[in-house]
Amino acid sequence: MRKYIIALLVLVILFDGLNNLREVTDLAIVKAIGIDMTEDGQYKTTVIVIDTSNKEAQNEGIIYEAIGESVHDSARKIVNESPKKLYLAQMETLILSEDIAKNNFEDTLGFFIRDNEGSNAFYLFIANGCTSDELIKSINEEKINIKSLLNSSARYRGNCNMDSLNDILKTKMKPGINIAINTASIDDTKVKINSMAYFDGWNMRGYLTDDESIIYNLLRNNLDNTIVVAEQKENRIGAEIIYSKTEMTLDKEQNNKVNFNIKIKANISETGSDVIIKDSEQIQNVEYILEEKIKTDVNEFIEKVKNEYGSDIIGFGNLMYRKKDDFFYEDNYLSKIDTSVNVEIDIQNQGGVTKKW
Amino acid sequence: MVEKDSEKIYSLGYSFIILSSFFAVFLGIGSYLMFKNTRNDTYWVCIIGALISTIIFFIIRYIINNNDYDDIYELNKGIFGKFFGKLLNFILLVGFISVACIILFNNANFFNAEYLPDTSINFLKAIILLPLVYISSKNLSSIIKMNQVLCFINIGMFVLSILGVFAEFDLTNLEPFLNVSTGEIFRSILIYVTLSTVPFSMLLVASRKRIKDTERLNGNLLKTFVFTNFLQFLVILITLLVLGEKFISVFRFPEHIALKQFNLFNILQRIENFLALQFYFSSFSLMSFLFYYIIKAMPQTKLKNYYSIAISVFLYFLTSVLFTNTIVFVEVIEKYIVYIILITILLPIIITFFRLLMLKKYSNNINK
Repeated sequence: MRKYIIALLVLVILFDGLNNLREVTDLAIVKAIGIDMTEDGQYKTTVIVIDTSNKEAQNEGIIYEAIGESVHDSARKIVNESPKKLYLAQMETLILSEDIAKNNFEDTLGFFIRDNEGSNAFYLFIANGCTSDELIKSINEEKINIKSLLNSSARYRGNCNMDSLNDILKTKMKPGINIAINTASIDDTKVKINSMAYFDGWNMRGYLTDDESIIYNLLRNNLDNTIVVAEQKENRIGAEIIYSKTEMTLDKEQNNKVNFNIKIKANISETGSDVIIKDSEQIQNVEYILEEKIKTDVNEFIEKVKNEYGSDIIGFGNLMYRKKDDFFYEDNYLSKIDTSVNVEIDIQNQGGVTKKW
Repeated sequence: MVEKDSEKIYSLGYSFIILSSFFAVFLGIGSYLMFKNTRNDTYWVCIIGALISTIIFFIIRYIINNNDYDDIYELNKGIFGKFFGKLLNFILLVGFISVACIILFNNANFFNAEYLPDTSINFLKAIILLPLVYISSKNLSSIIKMNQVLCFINIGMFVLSILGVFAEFDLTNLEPFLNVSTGEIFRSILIYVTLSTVPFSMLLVASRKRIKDTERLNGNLLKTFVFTNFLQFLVILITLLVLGEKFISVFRFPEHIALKQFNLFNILQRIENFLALQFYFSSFSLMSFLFYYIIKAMPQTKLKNYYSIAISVFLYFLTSVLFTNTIVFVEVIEKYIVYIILITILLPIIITFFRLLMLKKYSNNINK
């Protein structure tokens, strides 16, 4: 009797169960997805599917696009063109149009947050000055690995960061902090990483400038490496930041004041003809000039965030929330915040030279 | 009647019953409920909850050490008489069936939500029940040995999981400290203590006289108790450190979402599916003990070989009737699970404990 029942259960499972079973050959492995909003409020999804039949074309894929009432609906309609169902687990990039970022960001991401196949470890971009569809097609035509492009920009320039969707959501869910997201654009048919877009709540408000994006990443501890230039012409000092750490603390005496303590390690990469670095006093002088330059930039950025952007992307509110400071609950707390910035630069080396040639 | 193989039960394997069953009641149930109440202060709750659950642990250990019968059912019949003993056993049986239903559906829901959304949850329940039908036809020593092996695998995978998510730790996720009300903390502690009763109660499946190395029994039980609570504390703490209080609240299975961040030196990634096996193994262990318990409560007739199939079919249909969808299930665990366990498992155990105490005091007085 027991054998029959077990056999019956096994047969039931074999014949009808596990509907998610799919062979690798039946998968349309998605590399990147772009989503736009049409004029009549529908979602247009454009995807790059890895072309498994063409082993020589490493970064080239097949483009599919469809329009539907929801993200899932439009993505599913692609099966009308592609014989295989989209497989999102290996997806690297999600590009959203500026329109979606401004008006439907939360609803659009809902599908990707819920989707069980992926790990939300892909990178999110806002299409800056073009549609997601155009950007996706350019990426495919130019055979660009956008993940590598982002990696290079984040690692050596610092105007973007390597935050995945999960990281962005984690930041978004925290009280007292707004998000900033990487953007990409098309410049003369070439795809390029642009300055970051800042949000207020779930809605995009605008773009930071390139330098502001670097300062933003410096303050958010997301800056690995960048170039800083102080003074001009013959007094010019160029340095490469190789390490940075920013500490944000609440002032113990003044309850609406936030102190920034920024520690930076840098190498001198170039100097103007009048800059002489021979002894420790001159090194200290160079450090001071660079510190003042970064301090000014940070202060300008903070002022702009407080008064012009009006979105707490730096996380003052989150710091106060974490430290149980009631000032966070005051109306327009951002504009009333006072800050103090301290920058310490440690010059590690002068580029392997000991004197001017 | 003591089973022939009972001599093969060793105290280490026996005490591992707690370890294996613990995760099963916390994944998607205990952790979910506690995070909902106390958010980023849940790790404090684990510490206080573990300290309070020590009382229940010692009560159960006392029953094990003073049980001259084979198991809790025989003991109840022996010390309360036939009628009241059977009534207590029936209440316990209802408790174990309820917990089995909840664990079965929770497990099927986990696979359905995280891996197989297109597959019917009923098929998943059938798949989960199949190996249980087989294992429950085995004797207790085999179940304990299987459980011991799964425990070692689970510990290995757990250590690997910690290493893999270490880079994602964010200490600021623990702030603000103690930001919840005492009422919320009390509710979470109650959940922790009540749910931890289930794995402890699984120990009553056998008495002291069925253990071979009794001299190590109390020591091994205590060590496993401390180790298990420490592991549960780590699970809660790590999930918090990786996801943060607000992000945790989005998900039904936050531990699994934390596991999805696994990245070991950029070499080993996306192995959360493999590591999630530890959740299945612990549920399987707990379910196999629950099956054993339920079978033991039934009359030992010629049909006893078919009981496991009957129980499987019964649980299959009962879960289909009780939990028509996930929302109903979540409502049930949010509103009733604590009361179900308190009334049907903890209360009979406490009654048994006090009866044993009274009898012991009485016999001591006579001896004097």
